[in-house]
Amino acid sequence: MRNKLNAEFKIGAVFTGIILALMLISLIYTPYDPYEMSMNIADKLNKPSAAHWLGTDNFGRDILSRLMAGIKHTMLVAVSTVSISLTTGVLLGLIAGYFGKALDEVIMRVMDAVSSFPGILLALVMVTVMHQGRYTIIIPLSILFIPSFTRIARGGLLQYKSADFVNNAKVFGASRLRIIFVHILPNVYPSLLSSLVLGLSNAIMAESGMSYLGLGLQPPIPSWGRILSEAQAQLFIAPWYAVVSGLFIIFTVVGLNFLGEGIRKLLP
Amino acid sequence: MKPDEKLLQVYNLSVGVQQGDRYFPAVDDIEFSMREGEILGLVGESGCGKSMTALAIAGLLSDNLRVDSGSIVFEQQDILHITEKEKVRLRGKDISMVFQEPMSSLNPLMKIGKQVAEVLLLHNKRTAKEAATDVRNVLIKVGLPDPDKVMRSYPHQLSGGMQQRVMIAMAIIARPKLLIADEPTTALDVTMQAQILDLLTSINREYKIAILFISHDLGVVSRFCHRMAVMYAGKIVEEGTVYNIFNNPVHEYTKGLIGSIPTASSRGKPLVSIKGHVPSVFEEHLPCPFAPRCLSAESRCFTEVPRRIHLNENHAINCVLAEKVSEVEYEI
Repeated sequence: MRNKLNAEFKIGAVFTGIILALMLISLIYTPYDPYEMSMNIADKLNKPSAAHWLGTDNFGRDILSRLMAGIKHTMLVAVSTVSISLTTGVLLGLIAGYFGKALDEVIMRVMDAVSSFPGILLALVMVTVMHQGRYTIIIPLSILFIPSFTRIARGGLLQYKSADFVNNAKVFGASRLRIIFVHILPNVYPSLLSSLVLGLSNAIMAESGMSYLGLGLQPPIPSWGRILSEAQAQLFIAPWYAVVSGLFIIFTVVGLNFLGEGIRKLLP
Repeated sequence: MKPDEKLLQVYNLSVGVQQGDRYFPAVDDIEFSMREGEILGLVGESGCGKSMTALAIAGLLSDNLRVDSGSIVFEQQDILHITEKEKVRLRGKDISMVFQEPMSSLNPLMKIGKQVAEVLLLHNKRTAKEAATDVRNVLIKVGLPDPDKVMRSYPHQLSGGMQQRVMIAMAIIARPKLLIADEPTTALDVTMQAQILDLLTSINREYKIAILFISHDLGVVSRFCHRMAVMYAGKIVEEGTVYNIFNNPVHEYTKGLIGSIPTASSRGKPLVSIKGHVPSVFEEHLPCPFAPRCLSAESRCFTEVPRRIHLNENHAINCVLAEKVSEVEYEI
C-alpha cells in the first residue's frame, strides 16, 4: 500500500493484536483453570500478586485466566454477529439499490424501523421471548446490526451504478449480476471493511452489556460482561476486580475503534 | 448484407428527460444513417444532445432519460425493442463504445489484462489462455509497446493516453461493426489527440469498423470523418459529406461554427463567434431553436417548423430558408 500507515491504524493493530494473541494463548494455556472454584476461603478475592497477576474472584478463580478464557467467547459472538449481519445486510442493500423504486422503499423503511428502536431494548425483548440458549444473544445482535451494512452496500451501489466504468462494462456486454458482483461490489469493500471492524467493537460492547444484565452468554461461560457484573458486587472489597475486567473491555473496544478509523483513513 | 445497405439507421429519434409528469426533449426527432466502415462525425456545442444520441444507440440511457419515439435499426434489427438479453449479446460484440474520460471508464480494481480479456470471455467461448494471447495482440495493435507489463498493471499506473489506448483495445478486441467514440480525445493533450485519431483511422481502415465520432471540435472532424452531422439543441441542422459541408455550409449555425475555427488566413482578425447560448433542455423550444441566434432569421423562422431538405445526395439541411439556397453550386 502506498499510503503511509497512520497512527490510528498502528495503535489499533497493536491493541487488537494483543487481545488476539491472549485469545490464542488461552486456547492452549491459561495460568489457572478458569472454571475451577476453590472452597478455601484464603483463595477468595486475593489482591493481585505474583501468583495471581490480577487477583482472584469471590470463588477463588484466577481473574486473568477467566478474562483470557472469555476472549474466545466474546470474539465468537462478535464475529458470528458481524458475519451474519454483514452477509444479510449487503445482500439486502444490493437488492434495494439495484431494483430501486418500491422494493428499495420497503427494505430501507424496514431498516429505518429496526434502527429506530433503542438497540438494547430490542435485544432485551428478543432474548426474553426466545428460547434461552448459550449463544441466543447472537440472533438479536445480528438483526440489530443489519441496517448499517445495508445502508453502506446500498450507498455504494448507487454511487457506482452510473459510474463510467460500470457503463463501460455494460457496453461490453456484462450481465447485471456480473456488474453488481464483479464490478461494483469490490469497490465497496473498503467502506465495508472499516465498518466491519467498527461493527466488531459494537458487537463486543453490546454482548458485554447484555451479559452484564444476565441476558447474554450464560454461565459458566466467563463472559466479560458477566465478570463485570459479578465484580460489581465486590466493588468495595475488591475494587481491582471490576477495574481490570472493565479495562479489558475498554482496551479491546478502543483498539478495534482505532483500527476501524485507521482503515477508513488509509483507504481512498 | 448487400453492399449498399445501411449498418445503422436512426429514424425520428426523440430522447428526453422525464421529471415526474413532465417530459423535456433533449434529442428531437433526428434522423441519420451510417454505412459499413464509415466514419460519421456528430458535432455541436455542449448540451445539444450528441452524447444522449450515442447513449441511446448504445442502450445506456439512465433511469431518468427515456426514448420518446423513433427507432434505431442496426443491421435490420430495431435495437430499441429487443429484450435485455439480446441487448447484452449485441453490446461489445457488434456495438462498442469509447468514453470521454479514460481514467474513470476503467474499473480501478481490475488489472488491465483481465479487464480487456473480459470482453472476449463474455462473448466468445474462449479459454482464458487464448484470450490472453488476443489481448496481447490487440494491445500491440493499439500501440502499447510493452503489452505484458500493461496487462499486469492497474489503471492508475497508466497515463491518460495509455488508458485511452486500452479503452480502444477493449472496444475493438471483439471486432464490432460499430464503434461509438464519445469525445475520445477531449481529455487528452494535443499530441496525444493526434495519435489517438491516427489509431482510430487505422482501425477503421484495417477492420472496417464504422465509427460514430462525437466531438465539438470541427477541426478534428474535418480531418478524420467521412461524413458529418451538425446538431443544435437536439436537432440535426445539417448533414452531409465533410467536403460538402466545409466547402458549402448552408445552415447559419454551421457557417458560424466553421467561421469560428481559427485559420491561417484569419490571422490578426478577431475570431468570429455566435452570439447567445444554446437553449437549455428545460426551456420551451421554438420551431427552429436556432432562430434567435440566426443572422438571417426572418419572421417565418419563428413560426414555421423547418423540414429536412436534400440539397443533393450528400447534403441535407433543416432550415425554413433553405428553399432560397437550394441551388448551391458545388466546386468539383
